[in-house]
Amino acid sequence: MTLFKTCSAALLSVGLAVSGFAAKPAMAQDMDIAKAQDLVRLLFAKHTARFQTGDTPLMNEPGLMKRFLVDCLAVEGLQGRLQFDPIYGAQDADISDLRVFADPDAPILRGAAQIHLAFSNFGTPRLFIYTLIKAANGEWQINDIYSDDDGWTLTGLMREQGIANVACDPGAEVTLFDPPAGNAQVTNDSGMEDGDLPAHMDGGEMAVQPTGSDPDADVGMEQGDTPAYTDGAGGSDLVFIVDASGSMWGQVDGTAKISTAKQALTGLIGDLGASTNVGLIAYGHRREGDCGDIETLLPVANHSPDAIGLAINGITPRGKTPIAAALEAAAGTFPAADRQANVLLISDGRETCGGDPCAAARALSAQGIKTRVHVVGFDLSEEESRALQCIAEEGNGNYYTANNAQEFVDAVKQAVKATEEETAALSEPEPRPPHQAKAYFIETFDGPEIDTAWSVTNEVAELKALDGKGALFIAASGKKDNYDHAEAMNRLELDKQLPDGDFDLVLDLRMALQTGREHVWLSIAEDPANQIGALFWAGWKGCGPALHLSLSKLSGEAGAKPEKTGFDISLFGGPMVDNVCSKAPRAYGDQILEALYTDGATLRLKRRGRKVTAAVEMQLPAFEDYEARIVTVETEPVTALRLSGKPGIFAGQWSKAAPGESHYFLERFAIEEIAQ
Amino acid sequence: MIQSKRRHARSACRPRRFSATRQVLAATALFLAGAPLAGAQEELTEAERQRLAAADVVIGAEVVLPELRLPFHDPFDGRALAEHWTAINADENKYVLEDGAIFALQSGGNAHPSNEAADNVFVANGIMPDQDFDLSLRVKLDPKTGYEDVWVGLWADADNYLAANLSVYTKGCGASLYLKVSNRRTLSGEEKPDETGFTKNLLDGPIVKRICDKKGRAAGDQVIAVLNDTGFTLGLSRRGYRYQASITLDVPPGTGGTGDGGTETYSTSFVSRVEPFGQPFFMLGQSSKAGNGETSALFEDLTIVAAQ
Repeated sequence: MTLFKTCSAALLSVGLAVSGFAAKPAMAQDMDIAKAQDLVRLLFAKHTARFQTGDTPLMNEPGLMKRFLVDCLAVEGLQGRLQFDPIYGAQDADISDLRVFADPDAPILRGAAQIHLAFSNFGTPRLFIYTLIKAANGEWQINDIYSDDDGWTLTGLMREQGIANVACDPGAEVTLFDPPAGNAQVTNDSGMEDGDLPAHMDGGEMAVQPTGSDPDADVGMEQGDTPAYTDGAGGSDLVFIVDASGSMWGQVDGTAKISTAKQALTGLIGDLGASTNVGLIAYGHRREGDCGDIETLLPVANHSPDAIGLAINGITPRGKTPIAAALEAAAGTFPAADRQANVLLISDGRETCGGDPCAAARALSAQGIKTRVHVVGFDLSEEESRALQCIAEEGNGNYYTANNAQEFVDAVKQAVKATEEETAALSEPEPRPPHQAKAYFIETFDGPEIDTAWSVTNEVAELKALDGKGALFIAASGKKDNYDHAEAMNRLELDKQLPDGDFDLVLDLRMALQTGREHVWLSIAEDPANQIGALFWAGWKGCGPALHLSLSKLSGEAGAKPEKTGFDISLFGGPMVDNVCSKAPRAYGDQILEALYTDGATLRLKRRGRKVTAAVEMQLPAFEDYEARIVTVETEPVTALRLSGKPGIFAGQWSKAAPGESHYFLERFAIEEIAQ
Repeated sequence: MIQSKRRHARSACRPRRFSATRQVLAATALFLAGAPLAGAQEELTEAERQRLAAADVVIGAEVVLPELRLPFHDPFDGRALAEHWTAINADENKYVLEDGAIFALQSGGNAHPSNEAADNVFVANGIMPDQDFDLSLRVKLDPKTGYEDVWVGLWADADNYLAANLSVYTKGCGASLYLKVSNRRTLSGEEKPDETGFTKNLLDGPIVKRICDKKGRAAGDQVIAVLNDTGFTLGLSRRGYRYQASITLDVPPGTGGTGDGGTETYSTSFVSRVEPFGQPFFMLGQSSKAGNGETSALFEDLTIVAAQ
């Protein structure tokens, strides 16, 4: 039983103390800091009020959270999707000794407020550092939360969970104290009493930037994290190079240039063509005075707007301006030589690391007849402008200048639009037939026997049989019945050579979730320790079973624990239903699970070149306020350089399911060749 | 002690063949599919019938068990077990047919279908047809020790059965009530039998939310009392390869899914068998914690119908 010692009165007293401080500021910065503290304190108070009453966690309601967090981070069902409470840093709470105070050494670091939230939870001291930035209306918004005890950040947790943020538009940021016209006013629904509201203070002129708590551990991606690369003619690759040198903190129209740059970029990424692959390079964003501080934050690929937005918003200016080296880095980021390749450099100054950006641009454009280097210069002197214009000229690209925020936004939009128009003009309008699937092998499980090409490893005849109704029934039980266990029972293996080109392994199945620990594995396997496959599985969320789709690549010595690479999507964390620990979503989740048994789903393992993904498609039922719909979910790809092995199917259960049985009906298996 | 070692052939062809044992041979000699369900052979005791049957066949010979015809119904209204039943390890001091029911006693704490020595395991002398069915046993159970069971299901031997089980089991907060489906068999390649199943604690959510407070305990006691007052129906259903246990009983007002009281049914998840299997059976069980206590029950009716 939770004993929550901190009462509303105690929280209120903290608030009054803060407000009292804020009411008599000695300096404008003090006033600003006090407002940031108030926002953190009120977030904690509101969160606590919900916790105490058992209401829906505040973090799960983006409409309210947008008043506290930058809109990008206010995601539907966030706390549920994280399966974690980032305000308490724990699942349960017994709070005492609450303190909210500005960082004693750097209350404002490069324009971002650093607010400490300290308390004891069950007697254990906890410290969280909130980073706040300013929205366009001058109000603070929480941009990240850092746990000083455990080392995580909120944005890092979101990325780890694959939680995309909503499209960022800082210009329309919802804030608590000064909502833009048309937005909800501060009401009791925000969870605060009148007395909780601090006096509104005039905002300072300082425009500030998001500051990641851990700049070295933010938005960089590993190669294996790369989402699908959209290939073929008719599209283009576009690499943004973002200047994150210290000079980007300089202000234009009262707003830091980096803020304006982020606003412009995040505002347009949703409008990019579907065939445009995007990459993102930043320089100067991690270390001061380091000319080698250049990072490919996003390799060129078909990223979601949310992923791009997160990466852009994670940039914090700190260092030098190594433009030439950044252009050289960009040269290596284009995967395909036959597509239109554009580089868009956004900078507020000239090279400060001794390189020759013009030469670098020339070399880059010489890479291919379809390579262009475009430049948007922001708030430049004449000399700086000439230097950047040279880059565009040598790079066969366009040059745009901007002297205020609006001009900058327009220039970036214009530059991107030009690259897309140019791509359309350069692309040969050859009609391409859509991908067509051709059956290469089909098993419908409706004969008296399964195809003779199948073999069964560790066969246990008592646990499988054709049911005479077009399905292979498989029962699973026991502690060794995992997809990667060498002794797993009834592993089906197809002695059939895989197609040379692209293909899908397809499995239509029905699954009865009885234990909440079921899983079906559709794979290409050499042995249990060397496989790549699509895993459709159930796991317990604490309030019942939840579905997941995973892609997993296993490699290792036989008998040893294999190394696993892959991606997982919590289907009950958004794609099918969200917030399943609340009553209505839980009921709908149960309906989905029932439909999985009655109507089934289709699982795919897809090969496209070296990329392999897992996908699942399911017809979701109509239920109460939920409409019937077909949902298709696909993982990020994993690269398989040498794809070998045999197609396989396995239906099992995780060990904690014992002594329960898991039941599966495999209704159709196919290998579909994908014709280009 | 009579040991049962019957195992049916894996072939789905009928009739299925079984190796002979005493009780099977007895059943074979006396049972004909479709014979009258009750009222015949009352002048012979069960022991006499078994003895006569055993003397009439060669031990070890293969015999063929007939297949039961559905619907199958026994209201237990004779003065002796109908000829389509055999009591394994029969102990006539522990059961009697009277007033349209089998009044059964149990003691000793070892009455479980996996115990080869368990007495009075009532087994039908025919195998189940390969079709979906609903098997129902109407029972009144007097939970005097707090550690009693009723079992009904399909049985081949002590290591091979699939059954529904209602269990009264007493722990820290008093007597609780569990519904279970149990699937025991030895899988190919294994030496020891494996048991899978699902258990539902009926007094931890389904009928009563919790019994560890005063109000809940009182409600739980009311539910326990129902077992002997109005009784219950314990069932086992087959759908395809899947089998599920259920119980139907009249729950008191303030309990159950609606809180209104009345007849409610609760079910387990499913276990499976991919081959037709077993003979219908039922028994009164008792677990070892019952000590020297005595358990009693009335078996009022057994029905097996083909599923619609």
